[in-house]
Amino acid sequence: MKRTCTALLGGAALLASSLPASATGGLDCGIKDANLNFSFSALFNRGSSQFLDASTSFEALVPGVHPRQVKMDGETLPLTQKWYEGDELKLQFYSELQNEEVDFASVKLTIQTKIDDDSGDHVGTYALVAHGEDLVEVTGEARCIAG
Amino acid sequence: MTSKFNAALIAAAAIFCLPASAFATGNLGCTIEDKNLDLDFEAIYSYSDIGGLFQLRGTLDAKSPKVYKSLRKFEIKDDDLRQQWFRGEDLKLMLYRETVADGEPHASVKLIIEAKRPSEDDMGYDGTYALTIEPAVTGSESQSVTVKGKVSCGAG
Repeated sequence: MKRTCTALLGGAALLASSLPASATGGLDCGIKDANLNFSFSALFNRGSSQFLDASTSFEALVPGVHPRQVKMDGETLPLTQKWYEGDELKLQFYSELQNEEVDFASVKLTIQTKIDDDSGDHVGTYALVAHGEDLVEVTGEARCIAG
Repeated sequence: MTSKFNAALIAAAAIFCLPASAFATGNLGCTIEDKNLDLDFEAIYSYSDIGGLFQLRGTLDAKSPKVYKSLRKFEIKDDDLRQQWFRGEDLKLMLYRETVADGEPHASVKLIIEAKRPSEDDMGYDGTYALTIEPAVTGSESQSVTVKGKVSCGAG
């Protein structure tokens, strides 16, 4: 019963959208290592190339990031560039602080992936560059799943 | 004279209101002129890490008769840029416009530009474009047509 309701609600949400449901799929990206705990999920419309209902969760584990930028969401760490075409998926998130209390602090997270033939997932790398208490430059592996 | 002064004043105010990191800006322009398409595209970008293009302007004139009449020639606006990747040697842009007016059937045009610059010192980008036209007919997704050609862009 619960599964039926979930399916009905999901179907209703898609019907309520003005976009063709057939062209909409889900996307989930994740990074979990010693530097970073990050996730990004969204619905993606292939026709108009729009992300819908996007959700971002960022937590820097590596030291040096400005305390106010250690934990961020989609509002404080917006997606500034994206490319999701063919076998490529690239995402860039950027946040900047500059006010009376903070001279300057920034976080840039760049994810670049390609479809892996074996798994079908988008597999690649991330680069995190932050100007906070220190200059932080770390890289690692990133994976996104589209469905 | 007054309107020119007002325009300059508004532009100066707009620049003043941008974040500090956006002060240093450059211009990007792309041109296509062939049997499929006339494109005159310009945008501003920030030299800082913030990334992304803004203040888009220009016109897209798709020549195929399959393009729905209201999409055949239009002025490019910021909302038309649905995807971009402007980093390092890569320049990738996607412009998309679909019918929105009441009573209009669904139809769309999608232009994908993919170009590269030969070196870090060179700000000229050469590449290809793909223009996908979704005509205003039932089941138009399956009847979409894609035409391709070459594109040149320059940044400075």
